[in-house]
Amino acid sequence: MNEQQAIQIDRYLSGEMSEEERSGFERAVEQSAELAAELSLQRDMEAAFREPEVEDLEEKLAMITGKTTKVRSIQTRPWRWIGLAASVAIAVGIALWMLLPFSQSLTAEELYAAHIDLPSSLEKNLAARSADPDSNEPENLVSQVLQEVDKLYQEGAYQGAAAVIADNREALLQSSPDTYYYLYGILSLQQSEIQSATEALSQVQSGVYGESADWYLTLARLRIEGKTDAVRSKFEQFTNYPNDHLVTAKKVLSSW
Amino acid sequence: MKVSKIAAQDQQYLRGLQERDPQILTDIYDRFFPVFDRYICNRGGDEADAKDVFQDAMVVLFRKQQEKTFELTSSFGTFLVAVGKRIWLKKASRRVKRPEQPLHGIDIPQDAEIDEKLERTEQHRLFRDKLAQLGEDCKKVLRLFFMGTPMSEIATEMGYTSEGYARKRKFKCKQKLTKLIKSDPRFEEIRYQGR
Repeated sequence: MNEQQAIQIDRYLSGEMSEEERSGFERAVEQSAELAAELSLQRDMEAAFREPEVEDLEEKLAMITGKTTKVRSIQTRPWRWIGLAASVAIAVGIALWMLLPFSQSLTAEELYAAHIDLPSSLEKNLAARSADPDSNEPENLVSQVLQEVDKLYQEGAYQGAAAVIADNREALLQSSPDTYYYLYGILSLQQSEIQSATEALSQVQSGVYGESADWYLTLARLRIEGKTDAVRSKFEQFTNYPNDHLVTAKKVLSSW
Repeated sequence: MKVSKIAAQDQQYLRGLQERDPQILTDIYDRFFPVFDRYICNRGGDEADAKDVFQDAMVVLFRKQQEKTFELTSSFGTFLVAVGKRIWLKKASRRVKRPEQPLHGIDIPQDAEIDEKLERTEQHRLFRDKLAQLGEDCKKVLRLFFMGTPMSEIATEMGYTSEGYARKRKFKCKQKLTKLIKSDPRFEEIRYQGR
């Protein structure tokens, strides 16, 4: 499959071809098994991401059967669902909450504590950036700072990591403001400085950190503003399209 | 889905599956997983295989439920377990790289239909697993695109300078995703062929 054919498939599926081009392309597909297989793959790929309900079912089944890296220990009913949701809460010392039924309405503080699952490493973002040759951001400084911050972050030296960011504030803001604000926001959350986190995360515009920043900002707002209609509406937005936080957003809403 | 005379318990299972109700899904797991586990562990598999097959069978049944013509002609459990047996037959055959052997004495639902749904389930899982490996930027662009968001809106949402750049970015990201999918051993295992 050469790039020209890949472009043709993309234009065909996106409806960007003229009638004449379409007919020509369809004839080519009929004559080439390779092209037909590639077109079928691309079609199926698009269909796969238009099935949020199947994705949701698979996530739930994975949790029930314990076939997920996040939660492996399944207790007997009815504690199973409480156990799943509370695994995060245990980490932040809210053991008492485990005694409550899962469906019971929780306070804003309890909801925040149960669902604020901060990344254990910034490595994922580092990997994403290095694998992204089209990134617009100047790589050298940002990558160096990220690596240093990530090392400290993984060691739990959040204040040290914050200091590195502060030392490079001007340069980071100039080359990659989203990176600066995102890291600052996550580090603030790690140190329970919720107001600072809110201010920083709300500055993240979009791109690599957009969705994650929006998610953590929503949780931070829950902690600060409480269970307001505006905050609830933000969680509901996460349930409207496939994303990494869809299931957690639903859990938050089910205990609202 | 047609509603016929089925036991109240089975109706509850079907409704719970359709609505993806966690408690009913758990009830189904508690009641029927031991059957899967016993069956698969006695035929060369292990508990992890049984869990995979249980999940796949539930998704296949969920997909069948979406069809207007779907009608449960046996009990929920009988049907679910039969689907699971069919799935294990497929998976076990792939593992030993030999043609499927018929399962004598087992009432298996229409094989081709189950196979097609299993194939779709496995493909889609592979696609989603690979999407998760992309950078945040690519993931978001593709999700927006696959959900039918217009390119102009994607450009605005992502903070890109133009719709043209958004289009180029979407293409590059799709290329990366395709490459990841094709390099996964499961791609060959599913034996993807154009339909």
